[in-house]
Amino acid sequence: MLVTDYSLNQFGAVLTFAIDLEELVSEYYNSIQSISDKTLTESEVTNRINAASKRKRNLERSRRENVTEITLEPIEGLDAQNYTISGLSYDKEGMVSLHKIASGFYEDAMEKLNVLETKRLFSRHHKEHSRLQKTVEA
Amino acid sequence: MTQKLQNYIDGEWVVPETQNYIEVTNPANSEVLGSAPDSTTKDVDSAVQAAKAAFKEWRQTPVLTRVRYLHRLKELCEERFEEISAICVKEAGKTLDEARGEIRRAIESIEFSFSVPSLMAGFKVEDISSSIDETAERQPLGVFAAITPFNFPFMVPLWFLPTAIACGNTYIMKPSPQTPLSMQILFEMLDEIGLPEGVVNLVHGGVESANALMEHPDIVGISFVGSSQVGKIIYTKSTSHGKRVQVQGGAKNYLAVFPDANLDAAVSNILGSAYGCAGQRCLAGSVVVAVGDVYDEFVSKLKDKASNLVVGNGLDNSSQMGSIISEASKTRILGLIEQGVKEGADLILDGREHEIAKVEGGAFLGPSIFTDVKRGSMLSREEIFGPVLSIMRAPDFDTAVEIINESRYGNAASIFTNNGGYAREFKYQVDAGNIGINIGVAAPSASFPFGGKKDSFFGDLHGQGDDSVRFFTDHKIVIERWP
Repeated sequence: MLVTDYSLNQFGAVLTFAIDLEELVSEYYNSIQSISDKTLTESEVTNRINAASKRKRNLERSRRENVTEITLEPIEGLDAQNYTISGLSYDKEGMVSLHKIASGFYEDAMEKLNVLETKRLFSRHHKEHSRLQKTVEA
Repeated sequence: MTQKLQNYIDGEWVVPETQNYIEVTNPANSEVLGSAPDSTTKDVDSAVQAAKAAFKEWRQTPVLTRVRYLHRLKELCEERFEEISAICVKEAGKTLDEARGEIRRAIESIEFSFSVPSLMAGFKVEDISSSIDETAERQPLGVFAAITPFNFPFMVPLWFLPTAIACGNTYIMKPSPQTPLSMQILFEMLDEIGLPEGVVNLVHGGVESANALMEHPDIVGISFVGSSQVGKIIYTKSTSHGKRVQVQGGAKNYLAVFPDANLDAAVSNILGSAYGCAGQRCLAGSVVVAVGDVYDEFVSKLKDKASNLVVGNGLDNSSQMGSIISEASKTRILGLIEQGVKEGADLILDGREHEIAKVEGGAFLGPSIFTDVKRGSMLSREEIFGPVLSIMRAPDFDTAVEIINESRYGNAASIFTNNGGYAREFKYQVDAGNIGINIGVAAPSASFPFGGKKDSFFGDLHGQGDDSVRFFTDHKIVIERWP
């Protein structure tokens, strides 16, 4: 479950939330591997775990490399409660919800960030999660 | 268990001669983090002798080899990035984002030193006279030292050390006794990259070790960042001992806001400028000059944003402003707030009453805003070095520039406007070394010199940029003929 006791009110907090979210996506698909749900093949599940790990590494790099003076300005209008992932079922429905929430987070958050490199990264992650969602729904 | 720090001299960690130790505390919760030795003159001399002995071979090391060590240092900084950030938060009281920003800037300074092989190049003219060639070569000079402040404990040392040793010099670092832990990590990494013994040395301490550095005949140059009051003493003393010196001092930075500015962006920028690092920066915005009829709307928007800033322990992801460096400093700032009130300025936002998130104790103070600040008042003149912003009125551009240029400091000044003509005239006329145009903190990046004028800088060559290569080297002119 993605739980935060902090507000998404600045650059570092938003990046940390994103990092935790991708960690959760990895954990979710690791759990799916041990269940005999047939929505995705074993290699597709492995790919999703690896993709989440890669997104997490890119977010960590962005948090290290893209923090600048400008990012100290407060962010408003992002509520972590809207992107809480909890109690998802390990089936098609659960996977669709997971990627829908993640995609929504990246889409909303990138509008609030004023660092170009990080906006690009969030845009890419938004598209990836949307694609992953559609693949499951198909 | 708290850490008793050691000095790093001649390639190893050494227990210093001194018996006196200075406690290092986390200003957010008074937790004791460790203790730093108050090194003696003899401790300093050990470091100088090691650095002096190492210089001959180090300067003969090919410059590309020297720089290769710094590539390794950068990689280690990236690996330990979050760890270093957390240490900066704990010892300096800043927020995680502020600490990450500091570490990134520090790494940029290391990256700048990669260009020393090009920047150190000299020049030659053949046949300056018949069969005579003349060359200007840049050579390193010997042992340099830095005396660095509490507020950017990791970044400021790296403004100097990487470029100095890339140029072929050897180095002694004396960090602030209030925030020595960042240097502990830096020197762990410097030890790990395998530099020859004596090339870099760390001496912890206070006044005695600073004096010893300034007086030592074998140190050729000193860099200092801190208050102008102390900086003037350091400049005078060090130059009287024949050293080249660069002193980056204090500031009183003005921000002029014009009616045609993008006001929301200006407010956001100025919020970060005034309250970033709880105002404890030489580039912090300190006085806003609101020009014409922008005053009322600007004050209202700024007060609204500032009153909602989350002040708390910097390790909490929600905290947007951390603590003051110490209770003593907080007491000093409180005294200045009181003085501002007595002067007759209107304290429309009182940081003393600001709610501190999830924290009991600690040297916290919320953001304060004074309005109707008068020209010549203490609030308009004196550096506060805390989260206190003053707002003045000016009827027009010329008066705003006049007010700004009255300051004895000349570190930074900013203008917020959409008018290119005003922006050009502002940067032309204002007597400050770092100018921001729609930028609240005019912080030069590593490849530019860190400007500063009047009481904000003493010396000839600034830190950072190609100024730093000129500071750490000197020309040798060679005139040759081969009969």
